[in-house]
Amino acid sequence: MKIKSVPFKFVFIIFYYLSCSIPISAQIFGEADLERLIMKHPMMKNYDKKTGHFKNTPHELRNVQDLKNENASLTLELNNIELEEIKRAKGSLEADIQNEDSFWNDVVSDSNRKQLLENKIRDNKELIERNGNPGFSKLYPIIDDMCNDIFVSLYDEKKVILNKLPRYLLNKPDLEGKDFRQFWNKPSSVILENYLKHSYYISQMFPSVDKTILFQKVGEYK
Amino acid sequence: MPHIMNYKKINIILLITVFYVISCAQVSYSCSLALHDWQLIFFYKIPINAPFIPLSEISVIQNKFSKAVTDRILWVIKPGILSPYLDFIKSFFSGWVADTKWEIIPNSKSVIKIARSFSNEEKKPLIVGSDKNFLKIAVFFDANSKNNCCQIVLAQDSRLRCVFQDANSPWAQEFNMQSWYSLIFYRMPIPGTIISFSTYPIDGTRSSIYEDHDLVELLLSKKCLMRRPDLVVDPYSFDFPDLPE
Repeated sequence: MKIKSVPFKFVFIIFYYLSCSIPISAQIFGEADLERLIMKHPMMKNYDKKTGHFKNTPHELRNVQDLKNENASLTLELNNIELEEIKRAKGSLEADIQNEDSFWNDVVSDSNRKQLLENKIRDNKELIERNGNPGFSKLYPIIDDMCNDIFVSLYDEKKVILNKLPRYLLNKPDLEGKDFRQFWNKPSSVILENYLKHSYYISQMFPSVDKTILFQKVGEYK
Repeated sequence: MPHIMNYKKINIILLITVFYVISCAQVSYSCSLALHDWQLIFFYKIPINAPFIPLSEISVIQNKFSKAVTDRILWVIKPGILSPYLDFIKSFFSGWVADTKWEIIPNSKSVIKIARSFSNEEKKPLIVGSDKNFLKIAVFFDANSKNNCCQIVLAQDSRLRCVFQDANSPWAQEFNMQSWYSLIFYRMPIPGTIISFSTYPIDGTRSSIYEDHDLVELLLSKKCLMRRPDLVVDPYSFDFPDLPE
């Protein structure tokens, strides 16, 4: 009995020592399953896994012909506003206007409407050039909002949050012939250009991408 | 098949983007080399009679009319201390708007009424009225440099009302514009420690009048400024945070 009780006491003392000393001597860690939090976010209801785009958002994949039709209609509306502006300006310069404040309010209102239409037409033209694919510039604000929501739910200034991600391994990309180190043996711009072309894959070459990621605390940007 | 592969790639990119955005979630403002974390430490707003320099006015007219449409621009303002030096100030600018003759008209009447008074003249002037002018003075310290790097901003808010009595398409527009001047320096605003002086808008964009890259490199090497990470390349993050209303 005595022999068995020694390891139990030993383990108990170690446990007691650790449980007392951790909060005093070590940083407090929390953990989060980022993938689960992302999947739980309301915006993910709009996420189309097949296309990788968010429906009903500026990141949605669009039909090119629909965009062309929409732009034709918006251009017509824009022209009508411009004609109205000319008519209003002509009227104000030919005869006294009763209420100048009202005149300028209408000017500002039409100017704002025009700005919205011009932005929409410009965005649609860009989308047409991209075959209806909005690109990452439209993805960032969505991701930013999602991250902010997730951050708020996780935020605790006393804790460093450890992330459990991902649950699957990413296949290492085939980088044969694209390694920039070849440049040291054969200094050729082609090697560097080839390396840069594959920078997307190279960016995934963090050796611990399949391990827990330690986020730095806010303000410690290195 | 290539499409399916692209979608898989997009899904992976989405996940990586989430990591990246989270890791860079703190808003920072950078110059071409250094990463600043500007903290507003002083702000003051003063109503002023007239804009100091007609940067917004020049920008608005050049944006609307790429070619000369008139040989006279009438600037309707309360005359201020810099009004007599308008021609001298304009000499720093180029383009047809700066080359055209500007006349200062006291704002006793509305721009519409002033424009109407030229109805019978053959060559109609372009009327530009500036009112609701405010000068905002702001001082920022860069937390990334232990508050040694400082930025002084002079921002000028104005409401512009422009009228042009063109026979075919007369034009009347209102704009709320902001122009600003920014001086960034290390510790003291004296020669040798000034990092940059820039202004907005020149041709519709921010323009850098002076930049001392050697000084920035020196301060970065001594770790007095924080080096901008290669991945932080937001082109809109060069200046300063929004000023209070």
